[in-house]
Amino acid sequence: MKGWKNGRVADKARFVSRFTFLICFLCFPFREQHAYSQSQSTLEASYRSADALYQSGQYQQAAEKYEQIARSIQNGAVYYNLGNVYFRLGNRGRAILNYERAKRLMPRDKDINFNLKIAKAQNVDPFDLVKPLSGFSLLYGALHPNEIIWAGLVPYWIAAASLIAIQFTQKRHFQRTLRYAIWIGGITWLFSLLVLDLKIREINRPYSIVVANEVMVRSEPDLGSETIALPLHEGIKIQLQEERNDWVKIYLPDENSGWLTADAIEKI
Amino acid sequence: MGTKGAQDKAFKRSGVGMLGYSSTLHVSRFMFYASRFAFSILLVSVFCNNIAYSQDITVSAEVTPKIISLTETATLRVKIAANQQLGNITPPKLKALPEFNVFYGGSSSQYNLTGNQFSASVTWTYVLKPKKVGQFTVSQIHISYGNKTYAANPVTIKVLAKSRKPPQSKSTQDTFTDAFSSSTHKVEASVDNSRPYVNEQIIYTFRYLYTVRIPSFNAPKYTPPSLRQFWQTELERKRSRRQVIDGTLYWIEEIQVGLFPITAGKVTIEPAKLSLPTAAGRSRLQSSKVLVTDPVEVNVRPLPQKGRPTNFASTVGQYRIHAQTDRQTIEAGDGFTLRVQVSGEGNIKTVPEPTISALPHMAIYDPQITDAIGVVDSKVQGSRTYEYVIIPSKEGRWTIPAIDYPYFHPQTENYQIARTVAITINVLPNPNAITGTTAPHTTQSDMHLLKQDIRYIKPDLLELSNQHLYPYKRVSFWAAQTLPIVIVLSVWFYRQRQAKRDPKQIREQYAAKKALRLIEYAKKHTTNEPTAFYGTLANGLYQYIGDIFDISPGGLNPELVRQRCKEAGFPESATTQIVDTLTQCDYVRFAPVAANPTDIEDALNRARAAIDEIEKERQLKT
Repeated sequence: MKGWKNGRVADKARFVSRFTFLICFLCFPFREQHAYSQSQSTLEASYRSADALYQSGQYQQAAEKYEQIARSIQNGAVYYNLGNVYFRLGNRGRAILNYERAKRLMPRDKDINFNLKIAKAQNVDPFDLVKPLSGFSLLYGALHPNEIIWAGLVPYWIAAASLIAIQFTQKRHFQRTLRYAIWIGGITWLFSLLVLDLKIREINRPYSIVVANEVMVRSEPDLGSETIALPLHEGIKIQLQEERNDWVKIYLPDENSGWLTADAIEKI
Repeated sequence: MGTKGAQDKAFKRSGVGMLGYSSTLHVSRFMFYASRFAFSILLVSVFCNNIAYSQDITVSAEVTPKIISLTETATLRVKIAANQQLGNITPPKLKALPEFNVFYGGSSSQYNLTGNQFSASVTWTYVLKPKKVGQFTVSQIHISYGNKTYAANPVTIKVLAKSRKPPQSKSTQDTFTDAFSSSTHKVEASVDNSRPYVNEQIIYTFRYLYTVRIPSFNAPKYTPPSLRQFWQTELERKRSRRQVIDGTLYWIEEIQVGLFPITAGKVTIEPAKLSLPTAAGRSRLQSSKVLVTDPVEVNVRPLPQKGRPTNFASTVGQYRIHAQTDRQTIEAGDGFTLRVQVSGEGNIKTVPEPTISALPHMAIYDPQITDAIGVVDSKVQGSRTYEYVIIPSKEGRWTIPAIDYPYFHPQTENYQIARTVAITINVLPNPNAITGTTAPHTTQSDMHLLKQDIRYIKPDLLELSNQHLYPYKRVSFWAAQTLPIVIVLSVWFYRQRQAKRDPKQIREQYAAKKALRLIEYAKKHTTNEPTAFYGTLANGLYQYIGDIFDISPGGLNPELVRQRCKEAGFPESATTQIVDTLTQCDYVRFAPVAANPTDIEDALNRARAAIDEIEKERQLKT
């Protein structure tokens, strides 16, 4: 009996339903499951067995297990546990390397930051050889990229919804409210994209950790060239400038640079 | 040099020696004549118990030089110094000095304010001319100030029969008499010692004597001789003075240079020149007069071989050496500073570095050298300081041995040795010293961290999700960023398209909706007023028909509606229902009767049913 209501005005209804579908589609990807080389359950099983190996003090085997998991997924907890294993094995360089990797995925995790501090306190070189970050780093340093994205997406969607709603309303004060929402949401969104860009630039910085016990800094990528600075020791964080064959060029203080053999370092 | 010369010397000293701080300077030439009177009132004072020594007021006496010959004079200075303003002071009372002729040389006062520390002093100068050979002590110099009498320290003068002073170079004068201003001008050059040792200071003096200045705006121009064979030091400029020579009063200007011969042998100092300006108002053609001195010959003697110490290194003069460290106790690996100061009279710029014997377990670094050079009484003197940083590597008590510093004393003509005292350094073991390659610079907070263990691993409770670091590599990121834009744009296009559509089409599309809305409105608000109700209902229906056929509802009546519906092929029942309802509405509106609620309900239902039926029919057609 009410059939005609879905008829003449059908295209509008179709539009609304399509819109709803899109919104759902948008939200859905963030809960998507990833294509693992191993199934989720296999991963979790190896994780549990690695934990058990750690608890029983079989660090070498635990390290292998965690490394295996870390090759499949990027997860802060895995890197953190791996860091602990290397710390127990006395491999401070790799411990710091994995804590740093964990910190990138879980920047505000207290355990990670604590253990990183403890491992670094045992470093021979009491400094990092990295270029200072911009002042914005305060803003995004403790945030995961996804958090920055969400912080921008929500206002962005509100702005988009307001932009649609404003076309259908005639009420003046409601239109005004919507206009505010559009401006604030839009600016927040653009700002979040800017911060995200900076964050990704920071993540993409070629930071590395010296994993060799001691490495000489040379003036040229050649074992015969002279050493130009004090040797670097295990655990120091460095920033790469250039990579060439088996050599990497690193930043030294005062705009200087030097070469290290590539096998002495590991990228974060 | 006669009495006159001695007076002049005293004159100079009282004035020039105090240069710098003296704010007032009382020198009176007439005081020379008063000096005889001063001598007559010298009292033989008895040593009294009431001589007071105050912390605030000090009285001192000094005589220079301490050794003179019978033909020379010495200068005695008596000084009262206080950290307060000095009022009127009677000049000091000197005990009669039968061995000397005493001339009063004037007094000078000096005030000094450093920070909030005030100091004042008054100095009286006396020129002593010896009468006989021997060693004499000038004691019991007393100054009365306030109610107290202050005594100065005794000073000793040695008078030799023969002058130790080396012969001065003879000087002849180049004389020029200017007829226009009837003035006489002379120049002469001399050295104070024509037989110096290598590296011993001599004073080269250029002297210009004149009776009257040449009336010119220009000053005479002095061209110094080449002095390449010497180290040179500019000496302080003497004030002009006046002197009677052979019954004529001359003005005397002097330029002095301190010279240290570099090599032994005969050295000739080339003549110095003085160009006198042409007097103003005279013919410009007349060239200016140039006065030229004689060359001065200096016979430089080499240093004697006899008695030369093995570690002697060409130091000539009179020197002292002093060594000290900034710390006596130190931890191994820490550094301390050894300060060695060579000071005295001579060519400070060329003094060699003292030799410090090798110290076991100590690393000595190259010294930092600072010089302080000045000129006092035309003699170059000062100090050179060597600061060595020494780092002991091993604990224990170590001694820095005495440092010998030999020098040649040109006055006594023999070699002498200045020597420091040995310094003992107590080196403690260093608790922080860590041997080996790893020496972490641990701070207090690091130490605290080093004692702690790492935190435990993360349990397997949490979901093992993949925490992506690179959002831009994922489709969902781009979807979330771009889809809202797509949606907003599509909505906007939809609205645009809708606005552009045929108004007839829009009218047709919304006809039923508008009519039903009106009918609902009529039912809700106007059932109690039949007239209004039927009016609204009729409006709604006419509007509906008008919208469908795209005609004005104003021109419609029930008959016209029936005709249109028939033409459009609408169901007969629906057409009848609409027309009946419209007829009923018109009837009630124009012939008011009491409306029956059931009639109103009936009319509503009929209208709704009719619209429903027509809509179905219309949908079928499209």
